[in-house]
Amino acid sequence: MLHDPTDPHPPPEPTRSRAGAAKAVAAALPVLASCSGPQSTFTAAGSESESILHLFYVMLAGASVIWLFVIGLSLYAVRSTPARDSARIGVRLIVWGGCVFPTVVLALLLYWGLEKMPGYRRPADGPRIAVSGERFWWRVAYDVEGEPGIVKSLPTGGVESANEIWIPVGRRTEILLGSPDVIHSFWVPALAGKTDMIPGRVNRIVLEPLVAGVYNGVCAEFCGDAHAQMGLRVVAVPEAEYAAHVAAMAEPAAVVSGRGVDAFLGNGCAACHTVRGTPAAGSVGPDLTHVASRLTLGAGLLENNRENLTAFIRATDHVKPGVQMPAFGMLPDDDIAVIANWLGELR
Amino acid sequence: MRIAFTLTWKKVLAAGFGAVVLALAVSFSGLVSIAASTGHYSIVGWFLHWTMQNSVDRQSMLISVPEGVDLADPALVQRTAGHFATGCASCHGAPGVPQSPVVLSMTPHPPRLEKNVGEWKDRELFWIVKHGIKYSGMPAWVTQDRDDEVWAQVAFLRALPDMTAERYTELALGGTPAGSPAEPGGEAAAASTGVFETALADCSRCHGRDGLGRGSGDAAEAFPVIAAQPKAYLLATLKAFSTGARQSGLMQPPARRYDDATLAALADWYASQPRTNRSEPALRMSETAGGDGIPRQILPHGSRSESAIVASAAAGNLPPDRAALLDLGRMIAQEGIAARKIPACESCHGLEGRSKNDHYPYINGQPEWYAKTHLELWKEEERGGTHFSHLMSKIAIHLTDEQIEAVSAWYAEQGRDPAKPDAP
Repeated sequence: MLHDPTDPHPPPEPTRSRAGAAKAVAAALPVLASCSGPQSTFTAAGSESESILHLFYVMLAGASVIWLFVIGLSLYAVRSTPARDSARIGVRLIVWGGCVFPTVVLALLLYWGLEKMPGYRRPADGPRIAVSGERFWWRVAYDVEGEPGIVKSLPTGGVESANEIWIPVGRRTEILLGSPDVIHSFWVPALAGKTDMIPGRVNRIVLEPLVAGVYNGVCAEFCGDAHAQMGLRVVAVPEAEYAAHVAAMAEPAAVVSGRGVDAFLGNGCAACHTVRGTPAAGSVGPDLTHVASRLTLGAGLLENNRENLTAFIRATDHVKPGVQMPAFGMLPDDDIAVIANWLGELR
Repeated sequence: MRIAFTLTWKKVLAAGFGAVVLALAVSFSGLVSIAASTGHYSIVGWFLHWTMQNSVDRQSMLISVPEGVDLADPALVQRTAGHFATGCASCHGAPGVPQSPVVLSMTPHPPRLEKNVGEWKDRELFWIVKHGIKYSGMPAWVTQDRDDEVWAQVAFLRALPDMTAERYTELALGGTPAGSPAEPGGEAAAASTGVFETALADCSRCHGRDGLGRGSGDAAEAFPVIAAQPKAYLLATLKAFSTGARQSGLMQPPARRYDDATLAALADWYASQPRTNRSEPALRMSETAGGDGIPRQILPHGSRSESAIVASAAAGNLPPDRAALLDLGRMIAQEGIAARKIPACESCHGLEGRSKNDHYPYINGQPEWYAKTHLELWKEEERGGTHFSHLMSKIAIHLTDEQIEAVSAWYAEQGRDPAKPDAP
């Protein structure tokens, strides 16, 4: 239960053995094996989540030992008689077992837990990404210029996207978290712990993915009707791929004229959505400049395809009850189709 | 003499049962006359009237004239005069319009209002107009969601005692003398030939033939501007009034009066009227992006909007409060407040580039009260309309009272002739 002095903080290169060990334990426990997946703390794919998982296993093991000891003691107490054990032994048991032992164990655990914290706060060495929790989706801006210290609102600018965050593997990416409406909580279980997104305040969390992959994130603080449908995807990729992705996101839309654009503008979609390269510059809802390149629609809710795009435009409230975007089912089918087709081309 | 009587629960129940049977028997016998021809016995008449007065007084106890409603406002009088002509005058008569012997044969017969509105408090008049009176033939207001209209009607009632026949004709019948096709009983006239002309005359009593709304001077801007609105919007709106999807005690009755073909012809007429002779203000969507192609913000409108307020407030010659209000309105209309989930009004309601959906009306130059009232109704989720109206409730719910006031004021200002900046 003592702190392992060989525990590398910070690990300059992620130690594969730790992840391997964690995986081995997970595989050894069939119950836990079913807990793995892109949205599980048992799929520890980041430095912080790996450390949390390690902490969890150590505590689980320690707690098991103590539990067995206490149960054994209870059984012994049931069978004991006043004649067999003197009052002195009883007092000693209370002092050593009831006071000294828990104090020492908890103190050690506290030390170990606190000792891990500076590691989580090591400065970032990767990109800085602003993420704003909105009802009920995530506004994302890459490469923002952040201010150090306590600030009230997220920085402006950056390369805007939504509901999907790409980050480079092996780098410590700083995520600035804020909210314009209510408190949300940013949680990517496979990468790190939760951090609240509070209106009027910017919180920070560092994500350091060790394994490339797509991980699910969720809002972990009840925020309204569609709270349960407020998901995001975190895509961890090698650094070069990350840079290419952000560069691609910074480009204007692939198709900036045609019937789809006309219908989009004519029906007022631009009031809320931006498609860079067209006059659409609304910023109430998600930036749709590269909507077709995203993995999901409706904030992690639907697979991104033409059919789901059409369904979402037609009946937002049916697909995602509580959603802020009104349903546009009253538009002619043809209008919905040309808009969905156009958005489907915005890769 | 002594009567030995012991009251038991059984006897109480039997008496109650007996009373019910007796009441049913009396009703079944048909001996009670419900003839209107005979009127009431004076004591019955007094009792019923007394009951009604008490009821109206107590039921309206918690009602008061809302802030911002001035019952002496000539615009309110003008707004509901036309409805009075078709909805009220047919029973109650009006200045210069006698009550028909038919309605005088009702029991109770409708009173001449100019004589006795003075007996009622404002809140009582409001309650009667809104809820109507059971067993008397007095109908309720067509919708229970439009208190603003009911108060306007109360304002008209207050103006009634001093109204001359000429003034009434001018207000309610568009200057045409009583007795022309727009007289009370327009429903019957609509079935005959010349339906369109009749219908147009009916609309014109309030909206004018030009769709800019009647009323001038103090009563200017009593009606929303319907001239040059997209035809599809006007028709869908008329149909929404006709089905009750959009609530209005003033508009539901006339919209129901005419068939779809007539409504389409009316929509066509008003859509083809020139908008106004007022100048077109320069309204543009704000720039999409900075020169670098980077979108403007992630959490928009911080310090930038404040500086904008100062800059243009200094430019006008309006009082500073009004200028700041208008600037807030301009910002909401042209840029929106994205952080508060308020999109720019102009992205759908702008005048420019009308390749827009033709179900979106323009709101430039709409009277301030009109935009304000309807945004408030949307905010309270009491405003229906066309199949597009739900779009507005999603937006209005995020607007504060001040923002509603600001954006309504700004849009009203856009219709004013810049040559006469102090036009009422």
